[in-house]
Amino acid sequence: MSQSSTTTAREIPKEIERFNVTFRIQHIIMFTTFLLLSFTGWGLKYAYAPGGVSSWWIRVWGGPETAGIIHRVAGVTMLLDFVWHVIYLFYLFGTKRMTINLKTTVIPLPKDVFDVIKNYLYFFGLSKEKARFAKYSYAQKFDYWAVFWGMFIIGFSGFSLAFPMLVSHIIPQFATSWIWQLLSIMHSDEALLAIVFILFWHFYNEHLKPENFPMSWLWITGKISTDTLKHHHPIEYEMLFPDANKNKD
Amino acid sequence: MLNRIVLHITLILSSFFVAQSISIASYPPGEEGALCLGCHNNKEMSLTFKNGETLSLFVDDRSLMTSAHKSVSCSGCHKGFSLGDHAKRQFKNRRSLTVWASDACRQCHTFKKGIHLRMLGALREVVCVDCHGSHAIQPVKDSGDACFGCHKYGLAIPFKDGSRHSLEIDEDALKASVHNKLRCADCHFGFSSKEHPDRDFKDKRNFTIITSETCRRCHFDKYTKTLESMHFNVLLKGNLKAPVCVDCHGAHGIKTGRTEKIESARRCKSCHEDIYQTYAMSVHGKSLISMHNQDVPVCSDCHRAHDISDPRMADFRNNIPQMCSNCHANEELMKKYGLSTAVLQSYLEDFHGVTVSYYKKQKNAIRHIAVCTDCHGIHDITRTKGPDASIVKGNLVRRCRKCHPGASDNFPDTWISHYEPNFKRAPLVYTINLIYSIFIPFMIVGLVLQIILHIWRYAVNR
Repeated sequence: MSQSSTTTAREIPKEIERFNVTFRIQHIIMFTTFLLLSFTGWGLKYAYAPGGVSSWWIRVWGGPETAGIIHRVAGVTMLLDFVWHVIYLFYLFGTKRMTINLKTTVIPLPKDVFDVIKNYLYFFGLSKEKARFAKYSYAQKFDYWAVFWGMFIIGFSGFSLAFPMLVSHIIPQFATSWIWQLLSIMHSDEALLAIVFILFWHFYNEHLKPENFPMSWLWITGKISTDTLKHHHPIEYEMLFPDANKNKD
Repeated sequence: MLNRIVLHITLILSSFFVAQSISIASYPPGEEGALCLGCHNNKEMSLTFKNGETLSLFVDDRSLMTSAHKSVSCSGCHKGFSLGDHAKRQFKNRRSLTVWASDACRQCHTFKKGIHLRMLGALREVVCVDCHGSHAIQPVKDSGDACFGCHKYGLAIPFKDGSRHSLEIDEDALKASVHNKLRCADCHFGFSSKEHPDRDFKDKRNFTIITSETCRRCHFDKYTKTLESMHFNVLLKGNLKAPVCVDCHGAHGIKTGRTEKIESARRCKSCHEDIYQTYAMSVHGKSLISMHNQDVPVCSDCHRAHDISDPRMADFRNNIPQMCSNCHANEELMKKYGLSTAVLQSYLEDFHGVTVSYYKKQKNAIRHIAVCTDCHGIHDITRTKGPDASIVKGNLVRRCRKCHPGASDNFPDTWISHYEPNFKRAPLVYTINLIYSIFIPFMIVGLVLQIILHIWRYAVNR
């Protein structure tokens, strides 16, 4: 027993790769374009407010014309990044490099709902037991799908607003009077939602959280320390290093 | 002959009485005056002219005492009159006597230059006593009366181009004007009976433009505003037709600008006839002309009165939404006509409005973004409801195509116009909007709560 424990201890590396280089590049493109889009698009909200900073802000980005160009270029780049991501996922599944596993999948599961409840109970001190997460916690899943979902909403509405004459050909007659208003509401409110989410969720979890401050270096190294993994993703840790867990018990 | 004898007897008798009265009171005109007044202090004494007019020959000794001529003896002016020789002359009427008597002034007052010389040469109708009085001779005060002495006659100023302009002042118009308390010289600075400079003007327009400069002495604020105006700009470039103060306000018959709105519009009409006609057919113009509605805008409400800017400039254009909203966002005013005040906000929230908001702050925005007037018309603003609706839409498509070539006939329908999305009109827009307005705050609260709880737990665990 002691022998096996020493061997497994040697087998457990200090850190493991969580995201490969392709995912990391996709993430960099995603957040770069996201920031550009947020900055250039933000001025459009409340632009009419007298004495507002929106107008000043848009001039920081080179005036409405330049800001508009930046916004469109960044938007198209983000959409292409998304398309690349989806194609890459198909490639990974197609070549069996990635398979659907309940312990590693990002797909929402009933367990996530229970995790939310458990986590809140723990937060309130009503339960001593922490929710045990797999590779992706409910929060991380939400983070991922929020972007995935937003990509359709903001992507389509943004494309329509950028090329109205083109898109108008596929708009049915009955919708002409309100569809554009709907598209612009969807574009701006979904964007607001995304910005708020990133500000309050992603920034807190990956930057401001005491253990991560000033940021989690995962985005550039792609590596997560096994200690962190054990702490935050115990189910995945146990799956990767079943012996170590036994040893602990 | 009998007359003459009677006169002599009277004079002799009166001299006897007057000799006594000299010792009682000393008359300013001296001994001779005392002699004359012996008869001429009789209020009943009068002269009858051929045309039946009468002239009192009574001379008030008090008026003589205050006169500038109090040291001049009677015969100093009334040449040929003395106790012994009391010339008897016949005059057609009272005026001809006045004119004849005034000649006496020129024995002493010879004029080598100035207004008197010019006046005496040009204007036979006016004589010295008209302005200065006869016995109570006074230096003329430069009040209206003095100027009217000459300027009620058909005087005319000649211009270099050979034309002439009447200098006759309509006294009634002046009295009815807002300036009726002012003296002539307040505006006609440097002009008085003594100082009456000769000025050469090229033509009448030149005269008007230069004379108009006088207004700025009091109305400096307005004058400064006009310096920024389109009209002044055009004037500077050499178009002398451009209006100056007096062209709109009048010269002597100046009226307040706050008169009936139609008056103000008519002033603009005198040059901008075609625009006025278009305006008259608009929803605003019709209401003003047929119903005397004082709520509707006239030219100056949009273009302003003094600092009229070039409406073709981007600055003017981009400010149109604010201009229209002066009335159309006024709750109280719009209620009278059952109009929505949401028009401004709904425009500003629309992509055109957002873009214009930015262009306003940009110095060199070249692109013309649709503002109120592009859809609703400029001077020909029409009702958007009722029989004119189809015309409005027709015009609208044409305007849309200027920026959106290939726009179909239904292109103007592609927004829910100035209505706030509500459940009836645009259920989906309304619902989605509602969902977002609930979901976003809900999510913020949820996320903040999670963060706070996390920090709390963190602190507790430590």
